Amino acid sequence: MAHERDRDVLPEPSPGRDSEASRRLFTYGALIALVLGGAFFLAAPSYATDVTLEVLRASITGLLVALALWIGAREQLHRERGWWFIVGGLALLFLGSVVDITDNYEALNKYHVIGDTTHEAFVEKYVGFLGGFVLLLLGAANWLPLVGRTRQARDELSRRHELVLSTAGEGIYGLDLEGKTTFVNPAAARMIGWQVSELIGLPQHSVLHHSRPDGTPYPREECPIYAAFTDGQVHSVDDEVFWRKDGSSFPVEYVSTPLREAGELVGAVVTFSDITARLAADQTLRDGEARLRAVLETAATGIITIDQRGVVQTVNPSGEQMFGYSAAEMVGRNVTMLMPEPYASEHDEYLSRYLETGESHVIGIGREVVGRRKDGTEFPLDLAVSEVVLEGERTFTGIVADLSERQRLQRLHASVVRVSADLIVLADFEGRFTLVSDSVSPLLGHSPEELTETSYLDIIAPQSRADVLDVVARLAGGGDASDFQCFMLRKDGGLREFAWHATITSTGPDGVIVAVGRDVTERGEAERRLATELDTARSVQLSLQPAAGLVIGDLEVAGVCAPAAQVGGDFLDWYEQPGGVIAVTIGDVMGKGIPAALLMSMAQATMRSEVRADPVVASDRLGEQFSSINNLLYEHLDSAGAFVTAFTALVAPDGDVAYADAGHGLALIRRSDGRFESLLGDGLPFGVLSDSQYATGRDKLEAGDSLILLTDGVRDVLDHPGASTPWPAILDVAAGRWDGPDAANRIVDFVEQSAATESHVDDLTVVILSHGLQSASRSDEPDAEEQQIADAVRDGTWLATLPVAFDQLAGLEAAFTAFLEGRGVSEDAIMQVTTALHEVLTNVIEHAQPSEDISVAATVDDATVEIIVRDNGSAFTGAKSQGDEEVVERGRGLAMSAELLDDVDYSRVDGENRWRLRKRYA
Amino acid sequence: MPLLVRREDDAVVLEVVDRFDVVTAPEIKTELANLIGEGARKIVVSLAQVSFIDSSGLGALVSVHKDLEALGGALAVAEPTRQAELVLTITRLSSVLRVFPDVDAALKEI
Repeated sequence: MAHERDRDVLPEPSPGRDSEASRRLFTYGALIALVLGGAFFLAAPSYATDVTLEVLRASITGLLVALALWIGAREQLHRERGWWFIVGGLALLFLGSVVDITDNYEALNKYHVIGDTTHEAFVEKYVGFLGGFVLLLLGAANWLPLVGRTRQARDELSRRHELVLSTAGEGIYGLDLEGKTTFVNPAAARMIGWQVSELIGLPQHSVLHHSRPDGTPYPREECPIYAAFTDGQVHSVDDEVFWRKDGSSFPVEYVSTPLREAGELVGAVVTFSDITARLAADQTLRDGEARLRAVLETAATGIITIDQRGVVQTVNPSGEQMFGYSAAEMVGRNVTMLMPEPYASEHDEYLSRYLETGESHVIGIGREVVGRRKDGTEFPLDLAVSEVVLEGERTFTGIVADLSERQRLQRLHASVVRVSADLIVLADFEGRFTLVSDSVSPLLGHSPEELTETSYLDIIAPQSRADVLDVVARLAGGGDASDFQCFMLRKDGGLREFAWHATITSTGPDGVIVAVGRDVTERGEAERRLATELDTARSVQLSLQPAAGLVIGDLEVAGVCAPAAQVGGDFLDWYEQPGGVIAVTIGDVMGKGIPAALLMSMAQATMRSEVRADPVVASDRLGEQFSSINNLLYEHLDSAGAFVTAFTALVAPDGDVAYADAGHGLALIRRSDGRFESLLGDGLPFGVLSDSQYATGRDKLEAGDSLILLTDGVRDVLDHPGASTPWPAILDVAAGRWDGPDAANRIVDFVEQSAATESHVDDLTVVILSHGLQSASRSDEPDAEEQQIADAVRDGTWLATLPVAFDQLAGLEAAFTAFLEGRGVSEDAIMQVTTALHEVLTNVIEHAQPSEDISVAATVDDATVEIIVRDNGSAFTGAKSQGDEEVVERGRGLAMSAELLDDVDYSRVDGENRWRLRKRYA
Repeated sequence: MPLLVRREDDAVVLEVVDRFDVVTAPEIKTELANLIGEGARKIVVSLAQVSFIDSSGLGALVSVHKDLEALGGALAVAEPTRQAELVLTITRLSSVLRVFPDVDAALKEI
């Protein structure tokens, strides 16, 4: 909304020396005109017959001259106008001569007889000439020193005005009465994005004021700038926008001042400035004020301002709450109402003393004082006072915090520290205790008093000091709260182990280390003992288990046990019985940890000795032996509240299986056609009943069949509720291939990965006894393979393809070795060539990563083995020495090959890597 | 895993069985790292049962050797097969790793 205010109108232009010169010129001109007019008037009657006409003419001529002079004086502002005088003068001269000639003829014709026509004609003629001549003089005077001074002063003023206009930061433009631009300064043009020359003559309203801030049209008749024309008032506006040529706008403040000349409105001068920055600053200020108000309103501390007489000016809500008075009750009353005696009485004194002497006890420093609530209760409060002098009036702002809660907490903390059974200490970064809880007496024999202010290192055992200093340094550096253990010294010299939790209040200079410690000497010893026992138990357990797989004839047994804890309750065992019979046992002690492991060891030892005891007839009497094992174990298991499930199979070289099951129930045969069959026994676990009876079951493993023994840890993961696939089928997936020891490993890996939790909760044990795979692979494919090798040996050329997988290397190398052996290559050379080939192939698989099988061709003659390895993987770029372990290893592999052979050549042909390896063996 | 572990006083003897190559080396290295993690500082690796060792196997041994040295412990390699001896020699690692003809000698020395 535009607001108008009265302001002095601009003074009329051309004050000072300029107007003085005009007046002088006017005076001269008028005098000359008067002299000429008077002279003519006096001269005229003696010559003219028609005196009235002549006097009238002379007077008119004189008046014309006077008028011209007057205008000339008024217009004596610009050098250019001097020309106008000259032109006007010449015109008058011309007019004078024309009039004279006409008149002359008439006078000669009409009045010739009466007067001296020559004299009369001269006067008549030269009145016009004289007037014209005076004007010419006046015009020329513009270049004469007489008026030159005036002109100089005037030009300088004009230049200054122009300078002021052009350098003014504000935009300034002038309007004539029609609203058209008469002048505009560069700042104005720049601000609205126009050229000065474009603007002159344009209606300014339509240039920069055509729309309101919201974009709606702004009718000219409502515009305060133009209102200045109509009401003659100064209009000042600061809530509108001006529009740039490019269509953007900016907030503006402008003043439209009516321009008067000789009391007449001739237009207006508008000054304006872009107030974008000022508005932003205003906003910031308003935000700041709002924030301050919000802070005051929501501050948890009470904020009270008083004047220098102590009268309360403002109170914030926290202040109201703290003292129980409403702000209305406090404002206008003396602040002493909030203090008990003697503070209340003393307060006025403090205040007046401060005002007189400037001595203060509270300003700028916090101090603890006592406050008094409306209900009369007194409470401790922390008071900080600051002083502000506003317009000569001192105002004091008191910030008060209720300390009663803090003091209550402090008392509470103190009592917690006092009664704590743990050791609670505070220490500074210098290493001194600032507080030690009373529990230090029973724990370490010191009294809290004798430790306060002493170095905490004094009660830390020497072997732990470095560790403690590390922790302190880490905390001081801003580290997180820290748990650590260290040994503390008792006053009597004894050593106690403490577990500490330490943190700091802040990293600043007033930071304090807070630590809570607990004596864990007994626990620590127990843990160490347990760890030793676990280690022992683990090694006992490991030593009891078969070291490696066992292959007898067509039978191969292998297994793996992954205990859930360090030691487990599962066990597995296999050994050879006379007659090529393999005995294989799996068992599970219900329970985990050391007790289970010990029972497991006992059970395993018992079973081994029992089954072995009667090797010859064992397969017939397996069930009976289980009964006697149960009898041997029953007492121990019963007293320990534990029992053991176990399954033992005796497998003869022909695949005959005799087995007994003590409640284990997890034995399967996987037939070569993929079917799974369970070997079901009906016996109870060992340790459930004394005198349990066990039957001997029988089955047969045909070539390609596998006997699989598991513990329930494996079954539980595979056979989870909701599974749509029967778990033996998942077992098939897990195993991948039933090719002996690796299958057991793969199953356990699979189960470990499938288990929901990272560490499986139960032991995982798998034993696989496979029949005929060795002979099967020797009888079927290997026949072809053997034939191939035989052919290769005969031809001296061996060809093979290698799938891109590390686990296929061993097979290829075995075939290669067989080929070289057949060609009579020495054992050492075979070893060297095979090792070198292995390294090259490893390299190809690992780094070239071909998409197709790798092809290997070898030829042997009497003295040389030559091998060509081809793959379509990425090109070999040399082993880079980046310190990368993998690269170094890769380099080592190839370096090894180069050392082992006589020649290792690499080439890249048609997108294929070719390695040519040569070894002279003879 | 083709590994046997047993304890001899303050040392651990680890017997690698079958191949000690690019396939098995990572597992064996992990097992060795676990032993170190459990506090083992003297470790003897017996290669008697190793049918084949390659550069990855050697890499694992060197890496464990470095770890143990850094911890003030020691690694010894015992009973290398001919093939193992060959690769240890040509890679000149026999001068870095301490190689002993049998486990007892290794245990005595470390």
